[in-house]
Amino acid sequence: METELAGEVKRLLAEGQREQAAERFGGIIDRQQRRASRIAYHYLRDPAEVDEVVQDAFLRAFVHLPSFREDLFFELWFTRILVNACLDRLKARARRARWLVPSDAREGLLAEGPPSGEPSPEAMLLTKERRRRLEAAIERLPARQRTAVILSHLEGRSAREVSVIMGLNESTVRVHLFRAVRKLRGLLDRDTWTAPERIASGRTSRRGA
Amino acid sequence: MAGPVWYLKRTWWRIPRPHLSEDRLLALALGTTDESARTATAALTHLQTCGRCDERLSVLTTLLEAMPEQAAAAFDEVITPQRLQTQRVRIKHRLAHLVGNIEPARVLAFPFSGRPLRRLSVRPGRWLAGAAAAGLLLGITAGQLIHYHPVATQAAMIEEPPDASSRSAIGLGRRAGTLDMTGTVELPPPDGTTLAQTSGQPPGTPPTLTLDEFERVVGEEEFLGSLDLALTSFQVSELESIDALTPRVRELTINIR
Repeated sequence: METELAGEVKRLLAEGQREQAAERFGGIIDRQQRRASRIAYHYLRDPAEVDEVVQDAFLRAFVHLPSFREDLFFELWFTRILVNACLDRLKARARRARWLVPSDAREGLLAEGPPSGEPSPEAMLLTKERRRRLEAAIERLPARQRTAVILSHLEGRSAREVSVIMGLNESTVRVHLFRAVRKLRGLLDRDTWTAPERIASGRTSRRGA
Repeated sequence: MAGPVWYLKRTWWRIPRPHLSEDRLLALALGTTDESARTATAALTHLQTCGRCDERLSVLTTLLEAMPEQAAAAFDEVITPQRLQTQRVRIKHRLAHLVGNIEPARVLAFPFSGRPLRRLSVRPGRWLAGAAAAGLLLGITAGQLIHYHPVATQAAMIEEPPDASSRSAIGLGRRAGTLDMTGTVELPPPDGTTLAQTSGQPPGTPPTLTLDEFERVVGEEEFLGSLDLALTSFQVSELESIDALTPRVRELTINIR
């Protein structure tokens, strides 16, 4: 669907109807924005940077839409733009970190999060701790492994789609994914990260199967 | 013959085998295994018979299933729907700017003035060179003025002795020993009379010294200065390096006019 819309926007741009093209592109934004923000968040973990990267990625996609090949899926093409933007920003962040004292702005933000659905402060704290550990573990992965695990495992993309986005062979993507999960497993302590009730339910379900 | 074969077939699955490795389990959980069908079947058969490996696989699968949920929950907690809405509005606004639907915002002049500031026609590089040249010219002119008119720029006056007897004892005139900024010393006549009187020059004209008079006066002054310095100063070994960088009184150049 997005690919058809993108093709239509491309035609409008070619005809010089930029305003109509921007209007139609708004439909793509509505459909892709949440997913794009989620991917960017897995990379950057900073809401302000997520905002900037997603905005830039959409604008970049619009500007470069005339070069979009309609035989590809727009979603994959756009995801590739987004992932590259995220990786660029991570590089810039690493450069800045060499000169600036790091400050985790998210600490306060997480502390201020609305804990409405949680049963108790202890459970909420444990849940946050598990999320924090997962995020920290994903952050420690090399760039390709991180991309593989975010797109394939967290976003549910198939290995073929991830291979198109990353520009790699499908089997190479599988290898990256395997290594990434193996490393994550080493980094995450399952007893403290996975909720005990989930493990218990997992065991019973498999036993039942 | 059929007996042993039949027995082996019945008991084959009971023979203890090594447990599945962590990597094998992970590959099974991820579905990324490239093993042959026979190996995969063997692994699945082992899982059916080995409770321990089955439990390990369960834990691993649960962990992998929980991962996207945890990540999604973290995202929902930080990136709220309101934030996404704001972001969407911003994207569309920037898009409208891009295609020219919205005129670019007016840039305010800073510092603010009612009328627009007049642009300078001269380029900044030329201003810089002009300012440097003017500064150099002013500096040279001021230096020359100070050098040729020392009386007007007398900044330091050597205090005259409190009584006239001591002044006459060393043969210095009233304005003897004045020192201007360039270090030029105006010396008195050696015998207590003004140089204008000895040389027959009218009062008000700058005094002059012959070479012999100059050597005598300077010799006495230098001797007294050295004596004074030796009596009042002391050497500190730790400050030798600073002393080496600091000009000393006896090394100052004395210009006689």
